[in-house]
Amino acid sequence: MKILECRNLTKEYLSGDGVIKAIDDISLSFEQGEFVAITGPSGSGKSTLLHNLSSLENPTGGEIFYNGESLKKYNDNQLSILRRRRFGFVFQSYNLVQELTGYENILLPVMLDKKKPDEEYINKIIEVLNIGDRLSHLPSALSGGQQQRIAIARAIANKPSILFADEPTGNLDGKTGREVLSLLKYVSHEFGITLIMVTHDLSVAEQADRILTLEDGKIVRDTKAEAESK
Amino acid sequence: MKMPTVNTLAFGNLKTRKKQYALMIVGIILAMVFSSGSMFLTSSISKGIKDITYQQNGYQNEIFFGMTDDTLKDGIESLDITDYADGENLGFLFSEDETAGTSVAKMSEEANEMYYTRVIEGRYPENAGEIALEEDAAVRMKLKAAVGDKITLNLKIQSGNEYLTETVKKTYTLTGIIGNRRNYIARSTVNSPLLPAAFVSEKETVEAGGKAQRITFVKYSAAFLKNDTCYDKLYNFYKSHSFLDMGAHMRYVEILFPYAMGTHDLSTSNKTAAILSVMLMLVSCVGIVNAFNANLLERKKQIGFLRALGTTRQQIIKIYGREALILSLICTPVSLIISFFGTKLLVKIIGGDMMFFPDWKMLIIGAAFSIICVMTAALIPLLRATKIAPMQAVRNIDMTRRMKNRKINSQKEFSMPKLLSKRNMTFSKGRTAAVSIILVVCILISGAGFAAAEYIKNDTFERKGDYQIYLGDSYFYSYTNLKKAEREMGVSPNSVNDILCSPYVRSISGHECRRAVVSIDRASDYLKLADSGNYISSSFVGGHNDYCDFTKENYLDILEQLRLEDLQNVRSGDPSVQYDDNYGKNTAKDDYRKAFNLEGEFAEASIN
Ligand SMILES: Nc1ncnc2c1ncn2[C@@H]1O[C@H](COP(=O)(O)OP(=O)(O)O)[C@@H](O)[C@H]1O
Ligand SMILES: [Mg+2]
Repeated sequence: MKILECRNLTKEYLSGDGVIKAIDDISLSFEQGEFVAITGPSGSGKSTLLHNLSSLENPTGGEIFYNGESLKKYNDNQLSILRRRRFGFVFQSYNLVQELTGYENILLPVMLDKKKPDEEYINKIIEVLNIGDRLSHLPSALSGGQQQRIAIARAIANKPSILFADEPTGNLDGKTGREVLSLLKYVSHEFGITLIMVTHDLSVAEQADRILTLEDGKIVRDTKAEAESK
Repeated sequence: MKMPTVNTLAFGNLKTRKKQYALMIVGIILAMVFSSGSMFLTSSISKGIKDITYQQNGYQNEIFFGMTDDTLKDGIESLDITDYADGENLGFLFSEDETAGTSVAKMSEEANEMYYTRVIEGRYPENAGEIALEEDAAVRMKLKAAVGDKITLNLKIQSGNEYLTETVKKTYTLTGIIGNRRNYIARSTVNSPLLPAAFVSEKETVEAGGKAQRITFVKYSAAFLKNDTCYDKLYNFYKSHSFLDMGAHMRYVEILFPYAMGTHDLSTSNKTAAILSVMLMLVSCVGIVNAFNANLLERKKQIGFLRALGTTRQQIIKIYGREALILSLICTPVSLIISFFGTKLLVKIIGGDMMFFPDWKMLIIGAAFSIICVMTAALIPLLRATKIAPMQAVRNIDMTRRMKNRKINSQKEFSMPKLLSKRNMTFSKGRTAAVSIILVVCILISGAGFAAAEYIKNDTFERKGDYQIYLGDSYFYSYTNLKKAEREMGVSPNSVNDILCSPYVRSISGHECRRAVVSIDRASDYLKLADSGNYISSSFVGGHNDYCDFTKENYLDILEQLRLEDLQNVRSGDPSVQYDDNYGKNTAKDDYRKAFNLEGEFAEASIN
């Protein structure tokens, strides 16, 4: 089942010299539960693609469908609600709210949704991510790996269907990076979440079900398409 | 563990970025202190003017001496008297110099209220044999007595509108010192010895053989005073009850202002103050906006993240609105307190007759304005930030920040970021320019504000010195005789020393002067009202000249009456008196004195 799809997606940035096509007419679809890695050289448009797919930026052209429904019809409020209920985000720079403790950060999406947290589920996340002893600390008192694990917990606290990760290990050393990565893989698998991850680390990409390679805003390689065409 | 709430976020922001917020708070407080302080100051000035005017003159519009019940009745009918109160002159007190004495009165409570009888030391007399004196009167009579001392004075016993011929010695206990009024009133209209500057208790009675003179303090309706016909009506009233001949009524500012004090009027200074306050508040609003913009980028980024996590616009407003509200709730009372005491201090330093009158209405307006200002300043830029797609905001900020840290003309850069950073630079240039312009405007406005404050202050306060002493003949009607005007009078070095001995005098400064009285045949509206009938007094003192209808004929009249032979030699004039060109304009007082061969001195003293 196609959970996310984009058709003829284009993103242009305006600059004085003219227009930069960060994404150039991309059409893609993602299956429920898939682990997709997006790779490519720096500046090729990986982040831009991720942001546009997840409604963090507005595409210049093309259409995005979530569960078969076009996001064009959604207003700003509806998009916000979609993001906090259905999408999770993990960024390279963690992006935790510095003023809140680890635990408060995790519960932030739940709070924004004005829901009662599912204690059992949250506790399970905390256990899996092994951050139980770090919950009352402010992010500034945590190591990079710990912060990223909090960020992962926050991303899945609302039981999203898609987890977007943009170079989640980029700021971490090799060992911690691998740990975080396997956690990401594990939780998405464990909770049945689609994982779309940007990385330029090929060894990371190889662990994915599917690898997309970007260059100059275009898909130059899609392992799934290759497999299908064989 | 607890679930985070909007408050957790709002307070969290305040808690963890203490330094940033401390700076911001200081900035906001400074701006608020600036605005509310200036409001306090201007309201102090304008309220001060009014109150001081009342303090110096009393609330009454006019004071009549020797009114009868019938006269009063007629007055109430024809003059639209809204309020009146009674007192009684019991006689005229003096120590050595009869001319330096004062009427002594017993006042009803209402009369004291209307006359603004203000005890500044000791207490008001309660028993027979007790007396309270205006500071001024004590000095004039050269009394070296303090509150509680016994004083012995000569008393001319009142006999209706006259005095008995015999003079008795009376001993009183000085119970209090009263704030000055007599001299202020005397200066703003025509001097009269009838105006009491000595007060006894209601238990006091007139001495045997005498008869008290009724003093009636009168207030007219505002509508009556505004109407031009009031002068005719008043004149007719004075005439038909022979107040003109007796010189037995005194007027207060509201009638006098347009005539004696030019066009100054209290509401103008109020308006000036209000306009000034609004301008200063707007300027400080800009200050608050600027304080908030200090960490705008950080906040915009945070908003981007929160939006990425699915925070709706309304939730953003809630979170940051709460934060701004907390900030303004911290800043507003602090700045109001600071400006309250700051202004109080400033007023004290500026000194003079200026007084601190915090206007509570202004305070509430100031507080509300400050809070609104902080809220708008905080929210408008952030609201705009929410209009951009969440990640775009973050990326734009990251991008421009990265570009700022790099050399812009590096060849490897994408042209877009280069341009972006350039745009950013021109933007910040524009803002720098705007801020400088605002600063300049700020300085100009506050400069203008101080100038206006100074103007308002001068215009009303400086016009009347702290204190004024005339030695020699100080009554108007004693000047109506020109023979008297020729008589020598004034303050000798000895008498200056005498005055300085008085505990109330801080210093004496002044210049010699001469009063001349001129008979004219064409009376102006104002002169019609003068006690003296057709006489005017022109006091050649410090540029004071209350009468404008001073014609060439008047001038010639003076020359003739002073028996000056050589008209050619007279190049003279008080700066404020309009002379014919032939006789020289605006020549120095000294010339006038020399030409007229006048002698005599005038002293001005300041009271501690
Ligand atoms: N906010 C922006 N404004 C203008 N250009 C941008 C912005 N964000 C990205 N770009 C440009 O879009 C292109 C793709 O960027 P990005 O998606 O971040 O690449 P990647 O993540 O693959 O390194 C780059 O040329 C970049 O300079
Ligand atoms: Mg990227």
